[in-house]
Amino acid sequence: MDNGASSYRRFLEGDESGFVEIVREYRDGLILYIDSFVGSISAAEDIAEDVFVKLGIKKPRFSERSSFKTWLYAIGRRLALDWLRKQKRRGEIVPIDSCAELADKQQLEADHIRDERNRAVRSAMKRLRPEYEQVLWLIYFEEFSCKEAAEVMKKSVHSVEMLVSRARQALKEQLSKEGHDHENI
Amino acid sequence: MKTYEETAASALTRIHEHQRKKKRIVAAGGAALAAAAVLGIVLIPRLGSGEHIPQSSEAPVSESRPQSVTSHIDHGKQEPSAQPAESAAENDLAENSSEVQNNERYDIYISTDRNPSSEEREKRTLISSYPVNRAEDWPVPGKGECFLSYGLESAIGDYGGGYIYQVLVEMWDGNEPVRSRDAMLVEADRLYREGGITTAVEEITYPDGGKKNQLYLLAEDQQVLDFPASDKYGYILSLYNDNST
Repeated sequence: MDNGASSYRRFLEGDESGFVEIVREYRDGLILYIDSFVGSISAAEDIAEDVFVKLGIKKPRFSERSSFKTWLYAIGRRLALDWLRKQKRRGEIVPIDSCAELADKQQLEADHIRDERNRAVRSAMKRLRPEYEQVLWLIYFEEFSCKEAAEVMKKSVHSVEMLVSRARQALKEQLSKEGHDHENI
Repeated sequence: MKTYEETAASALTRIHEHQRKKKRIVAAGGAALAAAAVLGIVLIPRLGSGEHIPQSSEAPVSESRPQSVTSHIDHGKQEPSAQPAESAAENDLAENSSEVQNNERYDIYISTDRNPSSEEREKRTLISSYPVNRAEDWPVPGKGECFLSYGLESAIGDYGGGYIYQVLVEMWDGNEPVRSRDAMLVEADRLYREGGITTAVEEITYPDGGKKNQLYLLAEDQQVLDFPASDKYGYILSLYNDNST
């Protein structure tokens, strides 16, 4: 599969198996990214589904893979923020993951992040400020460029570069605190 | 957690349902226009506020769902500034939160009857401005892409449903903004047909005689969030009085 581009093309031509392939390729990373906003894996799963629904309804056109993935994550971020605002407006408390949901989350992370060192990095990232966690997730785990991350996060490229720099420093300190090697971060 | 296939099946069901609903809206819109034509009813939302009263305004379509805006704006009933978007528990949201300086909100009356002389009207508040203290730094939207300004995104996040948002639509064709009135009228018609959104194209005349056309919407929050972008243009949506010149 070519990063979803041919699957998406097939979906636009009416082949729904292309849509299933897109979900298979992008869902888990998207859920973990959205979870960094909403702090609930079940809510993140619902929101990720909403992102795919929007993709199917709007059917945006893309010429390259990066803008396709950027679009998905930008919509994911927006829907996550909308969800938080709605919770706040209604005075509802963000639901805490149950034991089963926490197990789901751990499994999802284990499936998505195969490398043990990356799992340690991910674990340390979760202890950082949410904004640091979000930008590091995009750059290190989803392999976005700063320009793409800026599009997703609705920031200037310069702001994202600064944010990455600060987030990287915070991550090194966190890894060091946890006794992990932080070379090449 | 659902399997990938379950997630995809659930999403596809919702997509199909949306498409069915859209077809119904288009069919209902067509029937409504036909009825209006028979009755000789022309509904033109002449809107404007504050310093941005347009020199002329034209509404190629003027229906939003079964209701239609019959253009009564009570400028005397401007409400106090809305509450600022409050800080959220989460940093990114907090950064996006906006410091409201001077929101513009007006009461408008929406006819709930097709007869313009009908007394049946529903009062709604029109949101046309939500200044935020951060710069807009959008890239040019690619075809089929639609960006919401921070002000509009913040306003919808803060107020949500039940309001009418007056939204300016910037259309881009590649790296060039679309300025043609004809193109805007075609797009206004399409937005009405596909999204059931009330639209208008207005011509602004400047003191030096220069003219400019602009397309705007009167839409509910969900209509803005589900903006039916076409593959022909890229779009930037912002609140009318935050961007109108």
